[in-house]
Amino acid sequence: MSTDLSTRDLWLDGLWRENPAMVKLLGLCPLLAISNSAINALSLGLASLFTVLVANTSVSALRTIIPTAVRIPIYVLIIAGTVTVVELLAQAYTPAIHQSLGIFLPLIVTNCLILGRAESFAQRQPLRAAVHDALAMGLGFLLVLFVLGSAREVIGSGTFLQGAEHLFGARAANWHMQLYGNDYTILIALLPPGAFIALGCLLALRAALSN
Amino acid sequence: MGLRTPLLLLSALMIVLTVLVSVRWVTANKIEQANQRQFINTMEELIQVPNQALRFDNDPYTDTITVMASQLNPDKPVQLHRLRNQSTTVALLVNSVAPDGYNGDIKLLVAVHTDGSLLGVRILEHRETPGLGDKVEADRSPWIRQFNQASLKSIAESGWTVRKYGGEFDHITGATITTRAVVQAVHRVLLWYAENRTIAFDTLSGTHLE
Repeated sequence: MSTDLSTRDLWLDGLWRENPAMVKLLGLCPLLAISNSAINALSLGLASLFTVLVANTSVSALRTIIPTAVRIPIYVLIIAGTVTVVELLAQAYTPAIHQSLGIFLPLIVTNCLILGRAESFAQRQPLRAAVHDALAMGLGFLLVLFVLGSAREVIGSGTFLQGAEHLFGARAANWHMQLYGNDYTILIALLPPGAFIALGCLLALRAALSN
Repeated sequence: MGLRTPLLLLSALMIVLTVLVSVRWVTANKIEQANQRQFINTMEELIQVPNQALRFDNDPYTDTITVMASQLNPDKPVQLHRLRNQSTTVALLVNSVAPDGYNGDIKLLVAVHTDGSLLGVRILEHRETPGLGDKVEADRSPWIRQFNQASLKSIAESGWTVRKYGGEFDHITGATITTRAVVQAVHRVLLWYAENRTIAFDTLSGTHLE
């Protein structure tokens, strides 16, 4: 990786060329498990974005004083600390989201996207580039999650943005849309196979677009 | 290298711990409030009997006892919340568990009127199939409301399962196991209550019964 990456390159990489979810296929476990509704996906995306931002920033800022031999434990410490903070905040301010994300919120610690960015990018790059990289990669991950979540929610439950008030507060109570009848369900889209199929379609679409 | 690396690791650990302890300290109150609010919201939904809410003047959130009863939860002690008006007992809220859901434990809050009839049931936590089993949630389907007013008197022993197995309760198509687990767990709460009514209400708040 060259050392003088332009901001534009960083953003293009994160959002499209090197997109963590569609090209690198990192963090698939939470991606597939949580993308059963748009709001769940958005919440997990935001939590991951925040974590990768804090991790990249601190790793890059401390890159000259962290000894190479023990860098991984220190990265894991930073990431685990950040995720715990996110979890406490979610529990305090968005309890319903905390409940519906369940185990996948603490599992952000093991999302290889985050350790991957620290190890392969932030530890060698200046602060500015590391911050842009974190925002671009985090947003790239968030967008894929959101697209998958929306598609699965619309196809599977026939709703969109159900539960928005849990993330955005009372003013979002009427954001959700009921697209078909109340009894409408296409179960396969909500179950894990649906997640794989939807991600497959997304990957194919991306491949077709970039050719 | 010498002492530099261990000292560095130690200070990294200290910094992270300090941050965590402070965030914990700042959010502890909020988290407690959020839990309390969730409990009170669920409770208020449960104690709406037709046309009126039950009257009580104690604080059910703190007026609790803990009992060991494998019918209510095979693994852990169960917390009971009491509702009282002056000195008369009004209702009991039982944090019960259906251990035989389709995908693990289903946590329930069961509200029993002092006369032994059900005020209602709500699902607190579950991991049932989205789109099928999650219809036991009150927000997703009215299924859970068929417990309202049911009692051991109004429904015979054999009726406490879903229709598919000869019971009196509807099941949700595609979620027979989930619905049967909930019905049977609620039944066990009523059976337990019938035998332990005095213990449930007359024990001093904060007691742990083994």
